[in-house]
Amino acid sequence: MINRRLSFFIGFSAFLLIAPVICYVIWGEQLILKAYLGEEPDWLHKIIEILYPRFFAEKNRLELSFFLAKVNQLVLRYAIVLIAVCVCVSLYETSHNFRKRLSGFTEIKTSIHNVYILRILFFFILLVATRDVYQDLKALRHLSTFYSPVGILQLVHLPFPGQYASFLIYGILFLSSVLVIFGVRPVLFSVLAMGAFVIYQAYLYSFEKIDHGYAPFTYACMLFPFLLREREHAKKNDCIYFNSWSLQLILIITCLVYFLSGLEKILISGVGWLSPVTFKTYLLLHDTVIGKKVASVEFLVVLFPALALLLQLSFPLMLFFRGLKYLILPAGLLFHIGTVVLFGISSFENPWLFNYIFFFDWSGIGARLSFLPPYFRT
Amino acid sequence: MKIKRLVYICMLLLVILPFVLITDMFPFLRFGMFAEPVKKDQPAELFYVLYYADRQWKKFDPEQYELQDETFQYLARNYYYRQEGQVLLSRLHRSDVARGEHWRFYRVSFPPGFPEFRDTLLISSL
Repeated sequence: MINRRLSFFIGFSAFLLIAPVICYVIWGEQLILKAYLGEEPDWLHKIIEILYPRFFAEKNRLELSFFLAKVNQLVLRYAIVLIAVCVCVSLYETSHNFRKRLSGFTEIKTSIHNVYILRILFFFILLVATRDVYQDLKALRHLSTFYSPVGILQLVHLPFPGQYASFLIYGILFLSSVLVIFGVRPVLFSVLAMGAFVIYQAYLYSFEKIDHGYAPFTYACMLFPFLLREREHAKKNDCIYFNSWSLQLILIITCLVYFLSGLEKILISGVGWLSPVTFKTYLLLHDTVIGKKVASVEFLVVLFPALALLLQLSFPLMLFFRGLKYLILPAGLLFHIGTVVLFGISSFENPWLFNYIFFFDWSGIGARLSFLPPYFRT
Repeated sequence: MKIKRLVYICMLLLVILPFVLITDMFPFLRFGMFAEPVKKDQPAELFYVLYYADRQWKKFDPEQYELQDETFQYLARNYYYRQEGQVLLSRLHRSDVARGEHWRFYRVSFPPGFPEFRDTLLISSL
């Protein structure tokens, strides 16, 4: 039965792989050329508008070869991911050992005290990080003529928020975060806080520019209600320690985000990304005082990009060797400080750093808080 | 157990999907910042808008309206490369950012690190 199911799955995956590749080989380049010249059919125009709206700006600035290379990349990535999924599913279905190891890998032992401290820290950070939500939305109203809603807002047909709606988004976000910190219906209010946080970002990024600053933090925000649900379940069963899949998934996703950032550089630019010319040009384009000084030191323009790439690609190692966090996380901190100092991008209050709290065990601190009033106790 | 499997599969797929499609699918994003190759002779670019009000030309300052200059530069750059300078100006004119009778949209380019060799170009006027 398993073999029949597996054979069907592999056959279907092979079809999913081969059919699009054949279509691409036959018609792909021709369609891209048409799109580049602005002669694409309507259906392709709509697909590009949804999937790659920047194309209409970029085609005037970049050569055709750039887009051909990009679509080749897309096909290559699609094939790699599909094959990787096939291999994993096959191993899962056929190897008991793999299944056992995978099950062990997808969970991490934690305690109700640890999740308690994480809950307070995470939602306090969310409160601080989003303190300007109302001001941000109010400011964007000046530019409402440029409003170009991201997909999620188009889907639910939400217009740009007026004063009351902006205040409501901020109110829900603020109040829900406070209630979660105090442990009032934490699962429910963490979902509400997450919803308001996503909607706020959706509006913020509906002016053509999408910022990746909050991304890993948002993923953690999406998974946090599951972690709180697991904690509630453990408390109900009088368990201090429990195996949490959601906490492990937050760690996996955080590491994956760094890894994908590194992989993206290699796949898009190849080893050329490590060339000192690339780094030097980026430094000069961003034009900061320290950046210009670093650009003039040959040794540093070779060293810094290599270290950055090594760091990003090595993040997942922390999932297998927990002790590496004492090396990788401080390096990550320096990396983000470096982007501020050398490129003037983001700020020292970088949301990517917020997810680092999940890599530490706060059980000891949480267990020592029993002297506090009820709402502050674990 | 079913929820765990479902959330694991959905989250991993949604995080990886923008990487495969090389595009952002908010709230799931592609992390391609600084990944694109740069050319050695690629010029640095700045965009600015002037508007005529109270009998003088004034520079439109996005930060005066609590807008990050970075966001405005990105927006202006997109309009420039889509050859929609007129659209940018008419939208600024229609918005409440500044009461201008006339508008001008400029692009300044210079070799990275050498702003003294700047080249200013009038893109559109309204």
